[in-house]
Order: sequence, then C-alpha cells, then structure tokens
Amino acid sequence: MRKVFAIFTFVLFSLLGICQPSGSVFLEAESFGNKGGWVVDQQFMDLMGSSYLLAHGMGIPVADAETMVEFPSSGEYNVFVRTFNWTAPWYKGEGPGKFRLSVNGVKTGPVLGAADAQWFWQNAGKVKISDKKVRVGLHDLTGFNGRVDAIYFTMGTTAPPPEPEALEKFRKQMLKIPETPANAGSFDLVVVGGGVAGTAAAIAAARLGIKVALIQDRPVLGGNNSSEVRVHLGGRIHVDPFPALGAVVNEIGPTRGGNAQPADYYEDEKKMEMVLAEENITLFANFRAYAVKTSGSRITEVHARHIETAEELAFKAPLFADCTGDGTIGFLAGADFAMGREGIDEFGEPTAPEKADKMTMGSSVQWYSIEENQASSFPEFKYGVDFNEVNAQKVTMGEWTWETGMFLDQIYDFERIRDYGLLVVYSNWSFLKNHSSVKENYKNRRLEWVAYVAGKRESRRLLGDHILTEMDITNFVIYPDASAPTTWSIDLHYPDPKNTEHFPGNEFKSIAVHKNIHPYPIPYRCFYSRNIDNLFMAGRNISVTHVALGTVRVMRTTGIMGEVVGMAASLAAKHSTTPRGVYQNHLEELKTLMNKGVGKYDAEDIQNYNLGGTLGPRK
Amino acid sequence: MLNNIKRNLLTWMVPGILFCAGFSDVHHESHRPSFWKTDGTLYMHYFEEKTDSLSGPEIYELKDAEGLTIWFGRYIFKDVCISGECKMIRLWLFWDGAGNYLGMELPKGEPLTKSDHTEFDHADYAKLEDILRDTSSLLKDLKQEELVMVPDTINPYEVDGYTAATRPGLDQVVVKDAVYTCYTLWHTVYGPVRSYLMETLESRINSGYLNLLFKSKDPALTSFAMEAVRKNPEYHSEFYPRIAGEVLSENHSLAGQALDYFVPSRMVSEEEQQLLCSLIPHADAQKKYGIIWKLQETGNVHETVVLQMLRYSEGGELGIGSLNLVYRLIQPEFMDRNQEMKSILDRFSVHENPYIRNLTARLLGNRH
Ligand SMILES: Cc1cc2nc3c(=O)[nH]c(=O)nc-3n(C[C@H](O)[C@H](O)[C@H](O)COP(=O)(O)OP(=O)(O)OC[C@H]3O[C@@H](n4cnc5c(N)ncnc54)[C@H](O)[C@@H]3O)c2cc1C
Repeated sequence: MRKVFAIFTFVLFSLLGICQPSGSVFLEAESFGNKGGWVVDQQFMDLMGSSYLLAHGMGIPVADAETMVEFPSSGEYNVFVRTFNWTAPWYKGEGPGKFRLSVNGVKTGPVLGAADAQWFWQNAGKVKISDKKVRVGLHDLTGFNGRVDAIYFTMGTTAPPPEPEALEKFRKQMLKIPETPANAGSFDLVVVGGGVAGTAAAIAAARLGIKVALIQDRPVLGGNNSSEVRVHLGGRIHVDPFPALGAVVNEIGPTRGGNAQPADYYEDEKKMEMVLAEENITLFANFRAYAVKTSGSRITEVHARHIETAEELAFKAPLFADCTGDGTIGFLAGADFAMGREGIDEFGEPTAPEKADKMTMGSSVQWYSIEENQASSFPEFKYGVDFNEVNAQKVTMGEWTWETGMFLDQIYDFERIRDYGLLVVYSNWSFLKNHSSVKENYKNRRLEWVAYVAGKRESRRLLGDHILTEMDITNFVIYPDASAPTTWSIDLHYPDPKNTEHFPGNEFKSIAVHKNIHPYPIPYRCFYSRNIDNLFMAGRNISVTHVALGTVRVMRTTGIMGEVVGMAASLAAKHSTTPRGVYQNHLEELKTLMNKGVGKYDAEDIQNYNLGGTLGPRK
Repeated sequence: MLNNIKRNLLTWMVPGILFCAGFSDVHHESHRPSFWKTDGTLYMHYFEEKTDSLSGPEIYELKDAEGLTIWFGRYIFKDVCISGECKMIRLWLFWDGAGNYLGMELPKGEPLTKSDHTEFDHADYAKLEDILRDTSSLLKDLKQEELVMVPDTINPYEVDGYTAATRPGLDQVVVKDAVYTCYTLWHTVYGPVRSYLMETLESRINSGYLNLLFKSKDPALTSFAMEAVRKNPEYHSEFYPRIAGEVLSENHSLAGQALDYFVPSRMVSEEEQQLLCSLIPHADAQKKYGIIWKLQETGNVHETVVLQMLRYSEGGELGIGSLNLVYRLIQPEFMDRNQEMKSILDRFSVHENPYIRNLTARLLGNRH
C-alpha cells in the first residue's frame, strides 16, 4: 500500500469536488472523478501552472468527463473556464479544440476552447444552481485536443487572475492546499523522473541497501520508452570496461524493438513491477516535482504535486538525482546548465557549429494508422499548415523522423512544440483521407494512435565536474573515473532539407547524421552537478556538450548511467559524503560495484534489438 | 507439371558433361565458387530473349539425382555500350535452384575490363560479386543514362563513364571505372532470365517437390520452399511443421523467415500453437521471445498452450523476463477451470522472488 501511495490519494479529493466558501467553486479539471475519454496532461505544468484535461480523440469526440460538486449555496453563478485555442499560433480563426460545459447533464453556455491564443479564463456564461450537489461535465465536440485546466463558478463577476503567480496563490487558496507540503517520508536518495535512467538509478540504489523515493509525473514508468511515447531502447549493455553494467536495463527493458508500435511492445507492467518489487523503493507515480528548497549549495527538499489531486509533498534527503531529462531539479536549485549548441570556439569540437546557437534536437509526436475492413472518415482539418500533392507525407505512420521544434525553446515553448506535432499529423492525415490523389489507399485506414506525450530529445544539460566533449569520445580519452560505456554513434538531428523546401522555419521532419564511435566509458564526473553539492544526474540531462549528447542520449546508455548513479549514491550514503566525495575518495569502491553490477534475477540477455553500429572495441 | 516443363527441354542425359570446356580460366581460379559442380543431369531450356539477341537461346539446368536444381546457367554475350566505343563481354552467369544469383565464369583470356582498358583485379571481381548478389542494389531503379553526370560537351554514352563522373552516391556501390559493366550485368542477372527461372521453379511446386526442397537442407532451397508454402496456402497443413522446425535453424535469416511465416491466420489451431510452443525449450532467448510474441499476436492462445508456457516458466525453460508476457496470454476462465494452471499461479503468488510474487498477485487481483 505504502508503495503505491500515488495512485489512491486522489480518490479522497475527487469524490465530491472541492467546495470553497465565499460563493464560489474552483474545480480542477484533472481532478474530475470520471474522466471519460479525456486524458490528464501534466507536461506543461511548469509553464501554465497546472496539469489539465485534454480531449485527445484523434478526430473523434471523446466521452464526457464528469464530477460531482458541492456548491456553497443555490443561486446564479457566473462560470469561467481556463482554456485556449491551441491552433492560434498557426491559424487566426476559430480553433478545433471545441467543447462545452454541462451541468446535471444539460449543456450550458457557449462553445469553449476555440478562442484566444494563450491560456485564459473564458467566460462560459451563467448557470442556475438549485440543488447544492451538482454534476459538472465536459463535453468534447471534436476529438481535436480541446483542453481545460480549471472551471470557476462564482456569484461575483470576476474571473480568477490570469498571471501565473497570482493564479498559483488563488488556486492554493481555493483548493485549501497547505502552504507547507506534507512530509513524504525520509529517504537516503530522491530520484526525480522515472524514465529508463531514473528507474535504473532507483533500482540500483535500492538493491545496494538505501531508501529511495522515485518521483514520476506519469502513471507509468519508462519515459520515452513507455507506451505513452513509444520509443524503443537503443545502444548496448554489457560492454567493456564494465560488462556487468546494464543488468537492470536488461531486467526492465522490453523484449521487442520498434518505434511507434502498439502499446504492449513497451511492457510498462514489467518496469512497474520491477520497481515495486524493490522493498527499498517508494514510488510516487503521478507526482511532478515543481520546486526545491536549498541551503547553501545543497538541495534540502524537493516538492512535488500530484497531477490529478494537486496534493503536495515534500521530499527530504541528503542526496537527489535529477533524471527528469530537462534538468528541472538542477535548474530549480540553481545548478549550472547549458542548452543549445556550443560554438566551435568553446571546446574545439569539429562537429560544433562555428558560432554557438540555441538550436537543439527536436521533439516527436509519433503516430500510426491501421488498415481496417471498412472505410472510415476523418474530418477536414485545416488550421494554417496546408498540405497538397507535393508536400503531403504519403505514409501510414510517423516515427522518429517526425521531429519538430529545433529552433524553439524545448522548455518554454514545449506546449507549442507538442501542439505543432499534433497539428501536422492531423493536417496531413486529413489531406490524405479527403483530398489526396491516393486517397483510395487510405480509405480503410484509421489513425489508431497519436502520442500526446511528446518525446523529447534535448533540453537542459546540467554541468558537472567534467563536461564530455566530442574529442573525449573520438580521441578515446580515458579518464580515471571512466564508467558507463556509451556505444551509439554521435547521432545529431537536423531539419530534413526536403521538409525545409515546403515548410521553411516550420519543419516537422528531420534527418540524422551519424558519426560512429568506439564504445567509450563516460567519466563519472559527468553524473553530478559541479555547483549543487548533493545532486546527481542521469539521462539526457548529464554533463555533455550538444555534440556528445548525440551518443549518450540513447536509453540503454541512460539506463546504465542510472545504474552507476545508484551505485554512487549508495556509497555517498554509506560514507556520508557527496557525489564529488565519491569521486575524490571512493572511486575504487565505485569501480568494484561497477565490476560486480546490480543484476538480481539472472535474466537472459534479451536486449538484442536496435543496438546501433559501433567502430568496435578500441584496440 | 514437371512433365510440362520436360516437354520444353532438350534433355542432355550426359552426367558430368563438360560444356564449360574452354572456360577453365576462371577469373578467380583460386576461389572457384562453391556452387561449381558438373555432376548431375544437364537439361537445356529453350529461352528466347528478344532484347538480347546476341546471347544464345539456351538456359542450362543441372539437376541432381533427386531432380533438384543444382544450378541454372546461361551464356551471356553482350555489348556494354550504347554508342561510341563499345566492348563485348562474354561470360556464363549462374543461378541456384531458388533463382538466386550464384556466380559467373569468364572465358579463358577474356577478363572483364574497365573504361581505361585495364583488367579487373581480384578486388574488383569480389566487389562485382557483391553487387550482383545485392537484390536491392541502387542500380535497380536507375536508368542507364542516370549512371553518370556528363559534362555537356561529352558523349553521354561513353563506356563506363570514362570521361564522365560517376553519379554521387553510386561510386561507393560500383566497381570503379566500370559502372556500365556493373549496371549491365546486374540487370542481366535480375532481368528476363530470372523471371523465366522463377516462373519455371514456381510451376514445379507440388507436395513432392516441396518435400525435396525441405529435405535438401540447402538454405536457399529451404527458403524458397517456405516462401512457396506461404504463397500457396493449400500446402500449409502439410508443411507448417517443417517450417516450424526451421525456427530453430542456426541460419539467422532462415529462422527469421520461418518465424515470420507464423502470422495469426496460420496459428489458429491448438496443434499449430502447441507445435511452436514446443520449440521453446530448444530455442535461444531471442527465438523464445519471438515465439511468445507470435502467440500473443494471435489474440487467442489455447488453454493447453498457455499451461505449457506456465510449465516452462516454472521449469526455467522460460526466463523471468517473459513472465509478464506469458501472463498476458491467460484468460480469466483458464484460471477458473484449469487446476494445474491454478496451482502454478498459487505457487508463483508466494514465490520468494518479489517480482514474480507481485506480478502474479496483480494477475490474481489480490496484491499482497
Ligand atoms: C522520437 C524519438 C526517438 C528516439 N529514438 C531512440 C532510440 O531509438 N533509442 C534510444 O535509446 N533512444 C532514442 N531516443 C532518445 C531517448 O529516448 C531520450 O534521450 C530519452 O529521453 C533518454 O531517457 P531519460 O531517462 O533520460 O529521459 P526520459 O525518457 O525523458 O525520462 C524522463 C522522465 O521524467 C519524467 N519527468 C520529467 N520532469 C519531471 C518532474 N518534474 N517530476 C517528475 N517526473 C518528471 C518524465 O515524464 C519522464 O518520464 C529517441 C527520442 C525520441 C524523442
């Protein structure tokens, strides 16, 4: 019970909604008791303040979400709904994300979700409440990603504040969220982010005997390798000089490769049960870390909020690991970080551009369709990106090459990046189904899956005592703290020139440029922050240049990093020292652990797909 | 059907006939191709190719005592140029009994040459062999005039790009200064002769012939046989056990082809599923998982098969990494009525390994 803390707490909140004094009711959409076909989207919580409900029906309206609410009194209420028109950046007219509000099953107020370019409180008219217990519903009209953050019923006339900080205060006050988050328990290590890196870090540390909290902002583990994003594992495990590394990756890793495949390929249940089988791990699924407390150059607490109930918890520990992919914990704590491409002058990397810039690799909204026995239709979808015979992608699925946002900010523009990913998938599909010269071929094809959790490749890289560069890898510079081997090529992505021809500046397809390497052991000093004393990192947010990220970012490698971080954390806990202390004083002990590995189940090696090419072991 | 073919054949019942006399100067004498055999019965097919009037109208076929093709051979006599300077090439091309390119033999004293008239060396021949073996070579979809980038002033059909630059990207996949030779030979290997051979071979398909093909143990013939069964479902019930057996083949590509054969529509019956399942104890990890995924794809695995998988899980023939996949195959009613399945699951639910315990508890719906 203790272990699945996350799953059950929201029930308490959602039974009857939250009734506030002073003639108003503030309802978080994501806490609706019955979400119908709407999904909870927490990806942009740090940007717009909350997770929200999303009508992700891929063109088919989703089932209504409903919840029971107790009003303070009967009477007439003004209603405001926080939403926006998500296609506004590309199309000036009404957007497709339309929905309506219902009260006790009766639609009320105007069509919502199709106006305004930013999150705002849309006036949803008035509603008469006669019985204090009311069923509030959200009725999707299009299946095209209408979104609702919160609903505010008030006997007054003013909407809640629009500015993020004021709204945050208002939200807390209305939901009676305590100023100080509840204590989540005491741990030796708090791992934030349950992708492959974080999951492996937590398991490794737990197996070496320390108490771990694993905070993950989704109901499933695996991050990009989960059934929500559907990227298959890449890279190699069991590689010299530490062939015992990778045992955890092998245990939790899916047995079958393929991007953008049916959900069951990704074996979510295996990762979950592997974590739950560890006595020393307490998993906090559905919690998103949003704040830290620091003292000097140490993190003392991480605060996380439940993505459905808004419940807040404080995690205290002597050691933290940032496995968020975005380096969020480091960023919040003031850790040094880099983002974008280093110029050639900075490290002298041959592959670096002449001048530093902000370009990163992009994010992907992967998708696929299936052939059925009967014809199916797809609505017209034209919201500013027009497809025609020449520029349409005449395909039945889109995997990693569907990549966008390389010139936008992968943190602050992330909602727009994800939305553009959705927009091009729908627009292209609509053209194929309704207008293309080959529409006959698509007659019986139906969009079966489109990701709404975007797969990210790159954002912040937290800087450690060593910053791994291209030359470290290509010149095979072996440091005394050599650890997790990276094997994938230096694989950097750029906009596909063919796509640029048709969509200059708005590319959504990419090419990869590979430079093969000898398997190279990454220095351990890339796995802890250089200025936050008790912060480890594993995953794509480690201390590397943009170019070096090209190789280390694949998930068998990020998983191996996680194993090393888990081992180092156990040593730091044992010797009451910092991550740097492990480097300075306990490196030999770390090597002993890396030589031994933390495999538990003697599982056969089943990680044989998507290994990637290498130059072979360096002689 | 076989008779049909025979009628078109001029049969040379000359075992070991040396029709290749005069072609002893093999281009790579020291690496005489492994397919090279002359023991058998030689047949001749009459084959007229309108676009290739220089080569003779014969395709030879050497068969073994059982009637299986050892090779097909054709003597090719072609000019490699369109206009301007031309050169003739003469050689034998050979295909195997599945229609795959086998190799070539050059007449004595007539090596292949390049645009600068130098002779092919060993490395060039080796590269040419690779090119001809590559069924999806870049050359496949190119037109002859697309092979080189020719400056305006030069005759576009100068032999082998003598003066013109080979198209970027192509230079890696052709023999240097012999782009037209490579192109011509590739399109000869995969041209009308091959279509004729495939038609001929396919027309021979019947139960007896398939048996012979499987019995041969020859990878190419086995692969051909599997493909033939795939295309001709009437042979499925007789031959699926043979194909299942190939799943265990050490030949990676044969094993993969065999496993790919088992799509849900060919794994409906309990026998079919049980047979695949029974391979598990003998298969390596990757194949075990391949079989499990195949079973999962059927969406309906028979109770006895699921039980067998559980036995394998308990007995260690299936590793811990597959338990979640095996559990996906269990339907609730199996657990209600199948005592042995129940017992295994009960034991797993109190297993010392917490992963197994938890996974089982989740399946049984009562997490401990
Ligand atoms: C389309 C695509 C194709 C790719 N192809 C491959 C491939 O073939 N093979 C390969 O191995 N790699 C591939 N990659 C790269 C790889 O998936 C990424 O580098 C991956 O991010 C690395 O794993 P990770 O554990 O560092 O991060 P992630 O997988 O991103 O995991 C981070 C996790 O942390 C959670 N999180 C984030 N912030 C918080 C927070 N504040 N609080 C709590 N939880 C949080 C996230 O929800 C996520 O689950 C691809 C990436 C993409 C997008």
